[in-house]
Amino acid sequence: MSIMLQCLEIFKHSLAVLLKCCDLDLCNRTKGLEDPEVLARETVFSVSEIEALYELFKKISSAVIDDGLINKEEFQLALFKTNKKESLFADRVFDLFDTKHNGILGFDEFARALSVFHPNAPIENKIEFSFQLYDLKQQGFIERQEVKQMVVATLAESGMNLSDEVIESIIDKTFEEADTKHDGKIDKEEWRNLVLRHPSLLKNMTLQYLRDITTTFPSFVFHSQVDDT
Amino acid sequence: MEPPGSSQRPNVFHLISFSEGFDLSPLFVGSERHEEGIRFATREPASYVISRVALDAAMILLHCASTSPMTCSGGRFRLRLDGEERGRKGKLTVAANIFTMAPSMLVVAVRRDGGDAVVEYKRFYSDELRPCTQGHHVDFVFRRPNRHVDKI
Repeated sequence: MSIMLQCLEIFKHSLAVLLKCCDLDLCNRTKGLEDPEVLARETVFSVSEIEALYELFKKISSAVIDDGLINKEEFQLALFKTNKKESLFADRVFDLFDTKHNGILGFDEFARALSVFHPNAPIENKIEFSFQLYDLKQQGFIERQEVKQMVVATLAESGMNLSDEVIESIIDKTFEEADTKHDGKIDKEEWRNLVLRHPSLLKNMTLQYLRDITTTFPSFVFHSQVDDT
Repeated sequence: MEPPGSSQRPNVFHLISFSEGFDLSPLFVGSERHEEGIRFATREPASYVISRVALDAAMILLHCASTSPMTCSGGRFRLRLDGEERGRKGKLTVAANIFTMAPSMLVVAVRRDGGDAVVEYKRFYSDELRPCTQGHHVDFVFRRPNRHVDKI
């Protein structure tokens, strides 16, 4: 009899653990945004901005599969308004957002990455992000070959051809200026110097829309004790 | 008009930054129409481009009252065109940035800088700007794919 009771206990315990696991899973999907305060503390966003961002996230992440996660297709859809478009750059951006490297974006990853694009985000974060963006092979430097690949991709996107000669000369001029160590690559320091000389290179790293996000994506959550200031 | 300075010439990363995949603003725009600016490349000298754009803008639609003095910083020219009449949302203002990417290649980026986007700029875009870029002096246009169903 006691053995049976013991087995029962083990069974109950296992079931409880199992249920808890399921519960957590369900939590992420249906319970909604947990702890916006944590994200607000660790990003440039306020709590209400996090909540507004979450509304945007829900919209994007439910476009193809309603699972509370953004997959590559949903990301492309949100960016290009079509899932038929492949883009070297969108792929890079997605990969950088995907800090867990599991091919999907959870809200945490989404918010933390977008924080870098906020007008108030520190410029160092923008410099870092853009460097990683252009460092296609992620070797810690931007190689000439990677630059050429990106130029060719940009031109192809726009449906035009430039002669190889012109492309090479444009790249030459840039490397003349940027590659101060003359090693055929642009490292982080050289990138930083280049960007500080040409601040407009970072224009894509700031999204003014993020300033107005609480009006564009209102969320109707009441907080009794949260102070946004 | 002085030739563009060579010291601060725009570089290849400016060109790359024109790429669509790097512009995340569509994430926020939703189903709204994406506003058309246009970028085109040409071998014509900057002065020709300026006068041409100004001329076209000065035609019927904008009644161009003034163009702010050409400002040139580094390898880049900027031109602003202000519509004369106050439209639905103030004067329609169009800005053109001209980059010298290489001696034989200018890139001109034209976009709305103020004023009504829905009717007036659309008209300017379809009646003036686009036809302008279909002329022989324009080598190619940076195209954006159709993000929205109806064309202008």
